[in-house]
Amino acid sequence: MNITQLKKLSYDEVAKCNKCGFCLPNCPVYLVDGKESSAPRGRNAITRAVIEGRLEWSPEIEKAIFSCLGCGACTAACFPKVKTKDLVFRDRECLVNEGLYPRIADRVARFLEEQHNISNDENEERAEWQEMAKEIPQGALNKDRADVIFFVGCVASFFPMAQKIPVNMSKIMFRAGVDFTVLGGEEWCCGFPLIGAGMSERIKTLMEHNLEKVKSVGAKSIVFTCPSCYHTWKHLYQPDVKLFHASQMLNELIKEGRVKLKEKKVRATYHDPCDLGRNSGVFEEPRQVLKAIPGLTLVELASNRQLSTCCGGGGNVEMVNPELSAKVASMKLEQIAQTGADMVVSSCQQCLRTIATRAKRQKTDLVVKDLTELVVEAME
Amino acid sequence: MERTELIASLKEILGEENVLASEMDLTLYGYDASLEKGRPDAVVLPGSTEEVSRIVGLAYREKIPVIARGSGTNLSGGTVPVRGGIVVHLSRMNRVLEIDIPNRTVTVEPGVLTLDLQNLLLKKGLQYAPDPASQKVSTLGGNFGENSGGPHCLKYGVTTNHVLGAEVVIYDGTVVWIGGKCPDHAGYDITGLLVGSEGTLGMATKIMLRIIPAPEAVKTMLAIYDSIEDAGNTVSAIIAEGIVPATLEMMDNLVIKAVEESVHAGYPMDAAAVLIIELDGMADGMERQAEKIFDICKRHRVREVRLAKSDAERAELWAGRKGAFGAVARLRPSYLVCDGTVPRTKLPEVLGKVIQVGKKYELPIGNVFHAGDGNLHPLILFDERNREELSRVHKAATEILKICADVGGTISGEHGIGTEKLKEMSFIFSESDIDFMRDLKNAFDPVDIWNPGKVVPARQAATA
Amino acid sequence: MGQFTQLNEDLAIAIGQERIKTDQAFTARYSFDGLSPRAVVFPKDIRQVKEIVSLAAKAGVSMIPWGSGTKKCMGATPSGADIVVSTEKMNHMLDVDVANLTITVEAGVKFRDIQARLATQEDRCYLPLEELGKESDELICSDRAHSGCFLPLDPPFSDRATIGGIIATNSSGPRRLLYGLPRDLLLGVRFVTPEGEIVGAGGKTVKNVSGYDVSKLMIGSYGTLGILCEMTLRLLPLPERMETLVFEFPSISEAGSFAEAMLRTKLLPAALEIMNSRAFEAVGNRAGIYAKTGSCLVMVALEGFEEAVERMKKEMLAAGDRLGANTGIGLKEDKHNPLWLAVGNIQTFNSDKNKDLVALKLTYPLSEWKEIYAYCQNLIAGEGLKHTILCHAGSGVSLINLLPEDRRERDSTVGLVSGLRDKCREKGGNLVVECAPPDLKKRMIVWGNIGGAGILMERLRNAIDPSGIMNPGRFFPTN
Repeated sequence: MNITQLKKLSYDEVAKCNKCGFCLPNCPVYLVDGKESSAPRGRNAITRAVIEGRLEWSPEIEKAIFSCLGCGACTAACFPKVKTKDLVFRDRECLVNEGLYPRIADRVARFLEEQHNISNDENEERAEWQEMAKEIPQGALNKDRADVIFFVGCVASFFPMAQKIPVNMSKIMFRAGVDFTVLGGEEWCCGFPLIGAGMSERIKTLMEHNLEKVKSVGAKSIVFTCPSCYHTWKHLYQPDVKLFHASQMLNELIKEGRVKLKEKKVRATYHDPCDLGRNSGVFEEPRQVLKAIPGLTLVELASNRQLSTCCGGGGNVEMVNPELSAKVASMKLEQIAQTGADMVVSSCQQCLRTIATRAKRQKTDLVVKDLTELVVEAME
Repeated sequence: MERTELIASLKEILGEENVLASEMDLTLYGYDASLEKGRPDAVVLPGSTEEVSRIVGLAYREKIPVIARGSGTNLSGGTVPVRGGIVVHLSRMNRVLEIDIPNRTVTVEPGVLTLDLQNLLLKKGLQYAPDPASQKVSTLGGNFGENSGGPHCLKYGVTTNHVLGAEVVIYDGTVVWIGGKCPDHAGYDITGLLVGSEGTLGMATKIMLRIIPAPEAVKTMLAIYDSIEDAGNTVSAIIAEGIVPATLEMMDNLVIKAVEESVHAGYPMDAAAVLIIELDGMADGMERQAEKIFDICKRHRVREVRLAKSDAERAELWAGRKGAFGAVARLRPSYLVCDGTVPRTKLPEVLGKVIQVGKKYELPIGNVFHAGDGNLHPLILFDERNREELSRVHKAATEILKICADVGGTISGEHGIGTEKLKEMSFIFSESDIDFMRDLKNAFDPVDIWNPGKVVPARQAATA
Repeated sequence: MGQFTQLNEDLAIAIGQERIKTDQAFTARYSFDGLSPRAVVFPKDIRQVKEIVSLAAKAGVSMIPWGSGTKKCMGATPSGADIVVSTEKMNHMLDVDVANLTITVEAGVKFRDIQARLATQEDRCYLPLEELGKESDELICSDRAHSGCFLPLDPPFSDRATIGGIIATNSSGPRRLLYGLPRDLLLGVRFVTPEGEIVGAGGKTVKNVSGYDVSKLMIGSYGTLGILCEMTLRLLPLPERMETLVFEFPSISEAGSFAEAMLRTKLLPAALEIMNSRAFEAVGNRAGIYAKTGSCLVMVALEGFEEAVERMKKEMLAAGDRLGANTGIGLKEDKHNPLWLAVGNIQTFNSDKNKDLVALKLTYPLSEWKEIYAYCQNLIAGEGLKHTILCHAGSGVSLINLLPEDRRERDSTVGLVSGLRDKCREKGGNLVVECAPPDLKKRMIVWGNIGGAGILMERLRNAIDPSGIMNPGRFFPTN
């Protein structure tokens, strides 16, 4: 993208920013870094100054623009609802065009092109987690045709720490009698990392492939445990089948009585993943699932729902600036500690990883669980 | 001193990572929430009083302007470096240093966010009363510099009434304590002078604030009117009847409509004005006061009065007021908030004139403001990128301030003078009034490094 | 001397001979701390003050602004007092705007006349009406709808003090606990600088951040930055009900527990005054209340809505019982007003009986009051001095009057002052000598600790009054 295109797409939006600063205390990056360049207002000002020719793209700008988590909390706090996340991602497209971007993004782009996943493994290995789901017969997970496609996502497929999520989700659906299948090696990355990397034009191949697979399976709906896959499908792919996040499906299954829950005495708090809550509008279903577990007390974080604080794992920042990501995660841990809960539940493999990793590094004995894991435990 | 040399010296004091000097950073520290723009020579993020003291000492020797900055939410250009210099961003000095319950004081660093402190205190049943609309983002250092107000200031007074003392870095970098836990300090009320001086007389590095017990009871009402005059008259009548509510806020039709469209607070779209009236304090007698207010509203032809029966209902009534600013801001890309204050009996007259100004300059103006203390906030809507429209906005704003000054009011109630209102200072001050301020400035800032070009107009500008 | 004659002539032309008094029999009435002015001038308004100050500044003579002289001895003895500028004739209420709850008055207006004026349509007043004079000046008034209002201050000498003097000395009383200080009430000022310029600041609105808060600077400046001529103050609606509770406790220990317990509740008393029995004797007698058994008394002012006062009364009387009060009584408004007026006049009662009175104001972080109270009592009792103590509990202020009766006791006050000050300083506070016979005052440090702000104060004073002619030496020693 060049500046002329940027002006066309972003100028009216960025002109809505009145520099009031109400976004500052909602931006996790500003809170840990304290510099105007890490504040949404600062990023808006950069965009505007570049469009108006008062600033030129520079390595400092690259650093500022690539340290946004894309969490969208700024927009939630913004009076005119300036979509800073979109503006930042467009800036990234321009920066890529100028050759000013973190080189690690090239590797990811190459992995996606060559292997169709973010971890540069053989894509067939997407099925690795299935070994842990022994109770489900092989055939039941990999069908040619099914009502529902379970889109597992790269992180849950390849990162051992997150692999129990598809295991648990499959168990729940299998026990509830849902007619579903996974795509295995035919599932390609949804392309979400490319949007954050400023390389969204490269998504096309991935998207076409995935949409084609949906057609061939004849599915009526797709379920995602990954909020970012869900968000990408919902906002970019827009297929004419129903899209569910796992928490929505769990909620339905519980309401229909197809999943029955036993008592579990625990004080839990719920962390809203940015791409599920704020960016996709799914706030209540995961909470309803939690409240359906007898004995569970839900204590809310001070910042919840629209104003939930990102775990630090968003916007490719973990990859580009791990130190910054860790600082945000530490802040999240403090917020969780203030609730006095025994456990934090989320419904995103990335949140799970970021929070659990930080908790482990800081040697806090916080229990971090995905919603699916808690539901499976309550079913047994 | 050459700029590169300055930056090197600053880095020596603060370390590499806390000195910002790139093109980008100089652009980003050149604005605040006003329409003003400037450009510093360097930006620093100190972590301690000692660092601030060394920065100021350097600036004094080299005669370089020093501009303190909190969250940069200033609405009058107070944090804009109009003559270059060093912007001191205090976001790293954000610790609450002491909560002293027996002495009812709290001591903070200037970078602490107002609402963060208030939330912390509320957990202990205490409150810090001033509640500027920007409390969620504003810093206490900024509140100190601007003498910030807010809805609850009607009853509790503004920031200055709650500042007990401060550690201050003075012109040459010396650090002194003014005021403190002991009341009635002998000598001049230097604290009182520094609060609201917009960083032109010194820089606070620690601030001691008064805390008070949170009120026992709160009662909130919403009154809906068919005429703005009736609403305005109700405001003076309530006070004249001997009731001083905690807040008395007003919104006009343009705002009501915008609010309804975005927040859905349940206001009738055709209402000319609504008032939000809140009482607080001891529970005893509050019921009777509420009835009295209800009667006063009826006498002034109120259409309907709604009383919040629960915390949830109270939050609902406030949702409209709290979302008002945002709702209006959505109508056009830019807005300018005026900040004139008038004796409250003049409100109906002044509101009428403000509406005329809007018509004259063909600009939409919304009114959402602190009616109880006569503090108007006409919100002029426009597109900053349209030069012609922008010049009409400036003219309209000046005219509104003139209207306020002419009825015995003033040109700023809580947003400060900064650079934006320098030219209007002559509406309310004579040359000798301003000369006295110049003498004060000179006594505290002999080489003119503290936020130069703010508050006190230069000689020729004042006579223009 | 010739220069002074010239000045007199110039003054006569500027403001009229009748406004200048130079005969010694007259000027002697304005002497204090062993100083006698050579002239007393009576300007009628701020413009005449400007004339006077300009001429005096040119002649380089020192000036002492003067209200009704109740606090003439406060502060260090000035190095010069050539001309007393009396505000006596500047006694107009310029704008009584009850609907906006503000009043603008000239400096010479008496505090009691303001209260009386604000209550004229009712028989309720914040001071006992029968003791007040009638205000006859022409007034500009707005419509009033409610049952009166008042200026929420209760400074010492409130039946005689002028508003200018009250503001210039930052004077306040026990009810600051609920209503705050002059700095919370003063909205605007007009004054004449030591160089003869008329300067105004602030205005009629409660919220005002236009320019520097110059009004604050004038509070407690003792005229050293200029002569305060006009001021606008914030008013409050008169409380619906006013009552006083008086408790007698066996000792400070029980009284202290009671006061502390009350300050921890959500109740909002207007004042919580703790005093020794000698102080109460002086105060109570005026209202016909006599202490019987206690050595330590607590007076509580309750002002507010009917229901709130009723509840406070009930809960506090019960708490008094519980916390060891010998007696606890409630007094209605007719006793309430004279009683609190008397509290403000205790120094007058004491000085009427004892010309060697030494009046002290102790300030300290409010949590320290109990320890300071006990320490003071012991230290003073050790010297065998009669004394009164008034402690504004919850505000961090105590007023002590020492009443020496012979030469030894007189001499002992010097040591006592430094001993008491040391204690206050140890606790982060200060002690100011508010009144003492001139010879003793010379042996005492008057202001005590001015603190870190001293350096700024001096710069300020030098910038505003470079030739040092306004009340010189009142704060800072002159060169």
